[in-house]
Amino acid sequence: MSPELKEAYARYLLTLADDEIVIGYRDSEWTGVAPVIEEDVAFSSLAQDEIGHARLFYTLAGKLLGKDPDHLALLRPKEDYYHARLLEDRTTPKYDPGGNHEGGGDWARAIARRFLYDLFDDLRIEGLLTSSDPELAGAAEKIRREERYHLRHGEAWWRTLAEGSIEARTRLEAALEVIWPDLLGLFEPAPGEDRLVEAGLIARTTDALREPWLDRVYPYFEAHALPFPGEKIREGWRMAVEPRTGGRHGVHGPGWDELYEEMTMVRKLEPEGAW
Amino acid sequence: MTYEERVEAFKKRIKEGHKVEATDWMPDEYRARLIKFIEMHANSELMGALPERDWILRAPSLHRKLAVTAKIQDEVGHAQLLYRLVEDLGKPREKIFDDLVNGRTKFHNVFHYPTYSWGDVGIIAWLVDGAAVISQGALQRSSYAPYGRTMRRICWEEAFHLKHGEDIVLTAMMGTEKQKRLMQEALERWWEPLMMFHGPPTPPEKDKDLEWGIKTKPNEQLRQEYLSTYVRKIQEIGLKIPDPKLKYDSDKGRWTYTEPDWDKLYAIVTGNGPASKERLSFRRLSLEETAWVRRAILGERAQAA
Repeated sequence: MSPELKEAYARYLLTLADDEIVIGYRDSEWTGVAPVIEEDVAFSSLAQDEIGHARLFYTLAGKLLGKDPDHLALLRPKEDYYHARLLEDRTTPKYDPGGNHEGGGDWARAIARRFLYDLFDDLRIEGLLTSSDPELAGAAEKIRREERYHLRHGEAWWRTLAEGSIEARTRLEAALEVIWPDLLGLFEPAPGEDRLVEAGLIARTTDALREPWLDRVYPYFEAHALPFPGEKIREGWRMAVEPRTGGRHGVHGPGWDELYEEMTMVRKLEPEGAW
Repeated sequence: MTYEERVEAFKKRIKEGHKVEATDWMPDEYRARLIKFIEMHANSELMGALPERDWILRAPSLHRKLAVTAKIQDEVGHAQLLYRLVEDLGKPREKIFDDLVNGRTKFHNVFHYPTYSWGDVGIIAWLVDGAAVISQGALQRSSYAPYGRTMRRICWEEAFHLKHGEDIVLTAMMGTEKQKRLMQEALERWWEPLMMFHGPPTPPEKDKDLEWGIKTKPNEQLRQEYLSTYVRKIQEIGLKIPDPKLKYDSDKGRWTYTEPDWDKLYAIVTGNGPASKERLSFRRLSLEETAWVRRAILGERAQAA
């Protein structure tokens, strides 16, 4: 592998891992505060799966970079994480030891983000099944099996929110309006993805997933007459929303500042220690 | 047979070791005590998720992150199993949560305390869960059969929590001075709540839950078993227990220790602990913020019906 290819590949693996760890961390926060106890348990399982996937990708990246997965997950500088911005915001209330808890928990946003991201991730993983790196192909195979369950869970909740009550539908619509720019930001590619396609490491670049994703998500909007900010013309989907990008280059918002601080605070007490 | 005669016959059967099923006839007092006892247990599992939940994001490695998340998921799963028992006994879930957040029902003393460091995560999983396993082990033989069965499943999962907690503590104790200090300081914070965990030494003949066979061992016996199981382990791992009076009296065949302040315990479990109000207000906030979701689910069921 040429140094350029190796660099691009490591960067791509980190991008995958960062996406998974960040949504896994944010979803794990629902453990203990979900709308119904059954869902505390379910959402926690989803989160654990994502962290597990992140660990697989960090392990692969670690082999290229000569680092262990925990270092990559918890000890990089804040601006060297490449997850999509969609994934970094908290959707739960935040506990304050002094009692001034921060509200703003938003189950509709958690569900919409999770489901629409899963549909994206499914397409992305599909493109890794035929990777020329057998380890990546193997990881993709394993992940795909778990993600099927995630999609079923997401579909059921999508339907419940869209049809369960006017209130639920209103909240779903409001959440979607907020996240649309970030949803389109998912398709921002990591640097050097073209090289990876040439080498057969991945089947498609991330921006090439945009059209199939829009084809795939549109029916879920149409089925429940949810507003969809775009239309399909001959050349493809024309969206009325500008993507918010930067995540793949380490540009993030306050949600990431907060999460990074929390997720690294214990480890940083003794960065090289055994925990 | 009069009601009183039926009650006497019921008590006699319990004393003989018969187990009661949810569909069996039971005296009103027995049902009321079961609800109160199991509801407090369930509330504790649910409220117990909150102090540990703060550390899900902060876990210092991917392995610990997965383990802590799974552990707390188990606790919430236990709450779910136990709330179902309470529902079967006739108390609906909305009422259970309403009573909880309005301070009309209780949860266990150990979940009224704040957490300060990763040390608390290790000590809670190892020693608080360890204390719980001692009492839950005894509850497997409860006169109420569904409760006993649920306890068998819960104890099986709790055994993993102890290993997870002990491993966190042990790893830190083999680490740097800073890591060791986290654990020692956490033990010092938790020792008093742990000594209170099994409750005041109520004489067995005055303990109604014992009389009905809902629980099977007196409080002090549970505490003695706890000390016999854990004191040596805690010392071997290199931690110092902050009670100069703690020792095994081989003449009497029992542990002696600094008597906890039982009035303080009462104040804590009635909502005046160091983090009681904060925890309950957070539970209330999360319930309020998700009320619309439950309405949407019920609406869906209503349409289908």
